[in-house]
Amino acid sequence: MSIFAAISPSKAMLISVCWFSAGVMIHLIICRLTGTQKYMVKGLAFGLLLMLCLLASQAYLRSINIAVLYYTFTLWLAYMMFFVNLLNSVTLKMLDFLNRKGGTLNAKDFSVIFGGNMGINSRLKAIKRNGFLDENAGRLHITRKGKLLTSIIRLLRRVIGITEAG
Amino acid sequence: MAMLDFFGNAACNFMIYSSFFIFIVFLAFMRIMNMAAGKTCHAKLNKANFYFLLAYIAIGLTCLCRSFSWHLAAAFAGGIFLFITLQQIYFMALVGLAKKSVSVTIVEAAEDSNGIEENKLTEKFSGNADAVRLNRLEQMKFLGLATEQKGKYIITGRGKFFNALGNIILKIWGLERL
Repeated sequence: MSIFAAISPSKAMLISVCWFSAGVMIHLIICRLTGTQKYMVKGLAFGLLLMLCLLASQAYLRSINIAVLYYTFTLWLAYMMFFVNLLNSVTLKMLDFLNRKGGTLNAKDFSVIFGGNMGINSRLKAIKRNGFLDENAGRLHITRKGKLLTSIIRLLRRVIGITEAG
Repeated sequence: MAMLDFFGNAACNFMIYSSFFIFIVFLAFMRIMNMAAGKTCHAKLNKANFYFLLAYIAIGLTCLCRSFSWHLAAAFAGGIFLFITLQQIYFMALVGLAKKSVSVTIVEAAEDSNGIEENKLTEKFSGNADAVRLNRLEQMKFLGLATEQKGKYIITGRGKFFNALGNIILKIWGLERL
């Protein structure tokens, strides 16, 4: 007997929305208890746990349905992307800054939000922390992990047909 | 195969498979026409994708008109969801990563076998910050979140609304902008 089962399209949607909504509720509580730190890692780890629970429950009932898994996983990714943009978007940060400063500013005043080496330094720090570059005698060298990343990105560019990047 | 029979109904399954098939045709069309080449490709890709979505909607509506059922309508909605998310959640995320990621560009700049001095790397990219800032100000104007008058940027009613909405959501979730 197969562990996969066909279900009606409306039931598939309903199951996905229920699991997704439950996930959002639990994630809201986690965020309120633990704050913004490592938001992405927490969100992805919890999303993975949610998907494993959904898969386990479907396997237990011998009714794994790929449509339900796709809907739920994609809804979770969309939810994560919404919050990542809300937290990181330079445009939204500048809009909030403009609002807090009375609603009128010169273009130069925005350099407090994103100017000079500020953005680059924070990225560089994160890149080094994640092991894509390492520092040796005052010079930055690409690591094996960094080379793997750039090779994958080059392959991706060739497949998609991207000619100009950066 | 039971694994690929999602809804136990040929017409409902057709809605999902046709959505996936049209998306694959879109990818092939995009590649053959070299639509990702050049400096700006996001708008071009989204516009082409929208026309393929319309083609899927036309096929779906034809099926619905021929034999309407609520299950078929739900499968059609699922097909639209599949098509839009394949584009916006997966494909455009990959395009963004391959084309615009600042972090990837920084790692690529250090690929030289002798490495690169941190100061030189920072200098190389510091000019980018001004360009990014000006680009985002233009984006704010384009989206109607702010207007420009004599070199000054003024927040609009829409800008105030979206900012307040974003802040309320962040407050409910207990998060702070990074």
